[in-house]
Amino acid sequence: MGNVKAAVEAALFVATKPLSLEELSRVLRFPAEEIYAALEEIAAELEREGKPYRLARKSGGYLLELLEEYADLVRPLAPGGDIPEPVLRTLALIAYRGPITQAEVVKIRGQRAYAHIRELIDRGFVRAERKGPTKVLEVTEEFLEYFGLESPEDFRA
Amino acid sequence: MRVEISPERLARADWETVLRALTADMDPWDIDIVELVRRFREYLQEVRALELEVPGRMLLVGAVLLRLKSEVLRELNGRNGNGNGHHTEDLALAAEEADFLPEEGVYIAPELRLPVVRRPRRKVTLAELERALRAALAQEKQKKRRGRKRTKPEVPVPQGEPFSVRAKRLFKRLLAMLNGKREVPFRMLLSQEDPGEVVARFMELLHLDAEGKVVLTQRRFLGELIVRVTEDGKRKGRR
Repeated sequence: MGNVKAAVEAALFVATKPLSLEELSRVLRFPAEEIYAALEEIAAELEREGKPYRLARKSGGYLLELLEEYADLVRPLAPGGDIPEPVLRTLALIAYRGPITQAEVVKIRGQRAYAHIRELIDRGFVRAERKGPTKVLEVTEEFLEYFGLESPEDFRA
Repeated sequence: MRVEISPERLARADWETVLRALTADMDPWDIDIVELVRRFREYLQEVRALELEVPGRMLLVGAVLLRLKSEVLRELNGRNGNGNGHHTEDLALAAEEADFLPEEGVYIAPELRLPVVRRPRRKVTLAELERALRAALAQEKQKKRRGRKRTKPEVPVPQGEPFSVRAKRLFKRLLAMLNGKREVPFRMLLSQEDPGEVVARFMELLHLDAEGKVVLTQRRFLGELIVRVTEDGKRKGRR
């Protein structure tokens, strides 16, 4: 495949999570500079042509995201949320009880919580700070932005 | 010629012995897995009055056979191991190497390629996050309730004296029990069949084993645990 832009678009089309420049470069086998140039071109093109979606930058990666006005319109066609239910429960607990130790979260949510926490950190929703043998977890600005909250207190209220 | 094993021997034999017996008449470099599985199943069919240990052994040998079979299939289905690529060519190549090229007209099904589609995902709403929180808190409450119910551990953990003291005392007792013998069965160390005592003695023995004073062996699957005091252990005991 010779067309970098088409390859990047294809990757963004199927991705369900933000794709980093390194990941795109590794999978598509094009230099990162060429991928970056293609991403810029795609972003400009989508805007120029008034498409209902844009190229968004999230958690250090890129993904195609619907514009807000179209998102509500087609919501019934996309029943699955982009955070799986078990991970969402772990996130809700961290948001509600945070700062909370990883050990406490695991005690409540079980061993699988380790994988959930890793995923939430990767997605930028949770930050972890090492404290002795465990980690202290709390939600990030990105989490607040995602759910349209001002502070974690808004969720606890 | 196939080697026959009696059901009693099968119950005691390790999986290598079972496999060796069932494949005794086969070329070790070209074992027919299908035939081997057939023989093994046939063998188990004959054994009607199975001992408790036989099903466990059957599972183990079955797992070994399945692994062997899957490795053969993987070998045939392409050497890259990821299932991608030119499957048909790989299969033909593997068949050629295995010296059984498909006959003219034999249909080799192409690899099924599923279309890659976009799976629409939407943002999670705040209401969904709140619902998830309620579910997580309910789960926590349930766990606490279960924890309260289970006040006593199922297997009593020995309390009281320090562990090392108990291990030392057990070792002295073991030396006294030897009396010219080399080994002592585990049950001789128990005064009653109390699970707490079994756990306590077993933990102490593991500690002594780690120190190199005793060696624990189990000659039969789920059989009696035999405790043997090592020479080093005897020397230490005399001091």
